[in-house]
Amino acid sequence: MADSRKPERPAFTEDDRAQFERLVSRYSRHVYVIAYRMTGNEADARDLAQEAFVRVWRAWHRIDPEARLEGWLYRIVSNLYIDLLRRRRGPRMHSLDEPMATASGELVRERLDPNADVERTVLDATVDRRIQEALLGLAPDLRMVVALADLEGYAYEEIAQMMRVPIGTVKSRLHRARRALRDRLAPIRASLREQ
Amino acid sequence: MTTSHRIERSLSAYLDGELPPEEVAEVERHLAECPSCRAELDDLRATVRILQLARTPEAPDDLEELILARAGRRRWLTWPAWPKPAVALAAVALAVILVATPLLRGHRDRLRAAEVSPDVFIRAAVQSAADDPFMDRAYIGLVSSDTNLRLIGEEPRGSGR
Repeated sequence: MADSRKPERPAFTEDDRAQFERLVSRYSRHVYVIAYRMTGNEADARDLAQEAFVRVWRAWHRIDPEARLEGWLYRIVSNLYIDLLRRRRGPRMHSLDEPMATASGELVRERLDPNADVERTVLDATVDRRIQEALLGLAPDLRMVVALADLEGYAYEEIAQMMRVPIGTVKSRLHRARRALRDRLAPIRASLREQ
Repeated sequence: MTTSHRIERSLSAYLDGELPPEEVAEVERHLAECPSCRAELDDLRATVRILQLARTPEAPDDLEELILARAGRRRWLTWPAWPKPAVALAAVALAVILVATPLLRGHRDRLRAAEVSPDVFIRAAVQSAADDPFMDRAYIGLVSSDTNLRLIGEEPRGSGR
């Protein structure tokens, strides 16, 4: 009887479990950060990070836990994010110039005063928010490249491997992303120039 | 594509030190004589500096626990936890139930219709006879007793016991 209940795939051992825990401890924060850059909010980032590791666990017997898995994990996050957008029927992108529709009417986005005190501007948490908003205005593939290159500091070659695209694609996506961000981040830039 | 356009597309890579040396020399020669590309390079540099101001979002403290809990829970819901013969047996049983239910139900309905139709016929006859003032109520009672009916306005049979 015991034989008939034996699963065809190898069972998880205590050693597997311990290795998985090490892997979670090593990568979970990086995965969360990149998920946050993609989704722009904590709840979705947490959900995506969890789901990414569930996928790792499901594929456990096909991976080498000692190999560098960042690229694979980031690809999973990217795919999960695209699934999330599909489930919500289309990306929720907002133009920074258009008023935001809210329950109590339209809200015009506040822009940074270019003459504001630079130190205050830099320290202000709104800078973070504005950067994240500007990122969310990019297409997901551009957003991932710019997040990996400019926020996480990966080299082009590493990004190309992670995203499984030619290095020329990384180069052109990053350039397009930066040009799109240039205008959106102009108010912050004006403050810095006065520094 | 003009030289200026081609160089302009390489400016991000130049800024990141990601160009091969021969292209670096070409970009630098071009920058020396093209103010618009110099301005573009300044813009890109400033944009990257701003992006680097973004603080790294802090992961929730319980993130690792959440991940381990969720991965552990899924483990029992995935295929290996359920032996294949049991799954196959359950699928066959489900198929049998889905096919047999309408057949059995149709058969049962036909039996019930055969039982009910004389009843309905007698009920209609008794009701029309009851409207006739000269009809003998004893006769009506005799006919209706077989069908377990009661006449309109009459006390239910057996209630007088």
